[in-house]
Amino acid sequence: MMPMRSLGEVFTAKRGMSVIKGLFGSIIILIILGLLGCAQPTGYTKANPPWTAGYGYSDKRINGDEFSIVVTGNPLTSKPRVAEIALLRAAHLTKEEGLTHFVIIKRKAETLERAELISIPLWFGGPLVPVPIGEKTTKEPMAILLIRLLPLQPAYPPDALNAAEIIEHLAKHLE
Amino acid sequence: MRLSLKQYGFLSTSDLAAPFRLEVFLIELKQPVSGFTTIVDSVMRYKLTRSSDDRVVYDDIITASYRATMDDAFYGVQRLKLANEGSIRANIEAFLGHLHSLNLTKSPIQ
Repeated sequence: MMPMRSLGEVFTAKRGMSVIKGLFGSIIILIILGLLGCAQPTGYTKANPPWTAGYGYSDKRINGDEFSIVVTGNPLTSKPRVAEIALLRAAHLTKEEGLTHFVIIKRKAETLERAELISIPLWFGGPLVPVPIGEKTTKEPMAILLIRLLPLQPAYPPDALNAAEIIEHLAKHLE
Repeated sequence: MRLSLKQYGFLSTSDLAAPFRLEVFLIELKQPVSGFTTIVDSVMRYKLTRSSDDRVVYDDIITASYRATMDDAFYGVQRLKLANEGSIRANIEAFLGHLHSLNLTKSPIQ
């Protein structure tokens, strides 16, 4: 016959189990975040949500029918890829505005320096807490595009880009 | 911007008499989420138009960055403020450098 455990022993055992569960859960969350955030180059995504860490595209109307598109990629992303994401966003933007063609006014490629915290997960009795131990500098590609949307017309100038064609060509490997 | 133009002698005293018109657009101010070193990148577009015939004489995007460290400010929010201001200042300075190379006469901009 098994001896009966005291209330204190039961409480300690349950607490021990919940601590292990918390630790296990934290590790899984860290692994998932790591896989989602760092394992692959930046795709066609908006830069605003916090889980993108600022990577992706952002756009704004700057003057009448002129728009700016800025794409920042994580360190695994190549310069041609961020340029393609910017071009694809320009095409989608044109479609969203009910138009079919646009022209590129300006384009620019940059490499940004970003100071990134190096932290190690430490356990203080609850979930794992990331504790910063240093900093490293990473390089991130950025593409800037300035476009003008063209009003619907029977014939477009030779430098006009067809939004539908760009989407068909680029969406396959970026979206 | 007006203050910088004025300091360098580019700002016209009268809007009507100015032979050039300057438009400045803040495209992006890239700020980090956190960090001991705060690097802010500013992306600005400068468009300079000649008033007499509406011809664009300069239209470009300038990017500039500024790095604020723990030595500049211990408090993160203050560090970010310094980096924002430094980045915009560096951007305007870069534009003024381009403006000098255009060999414009003094006080021409509105």
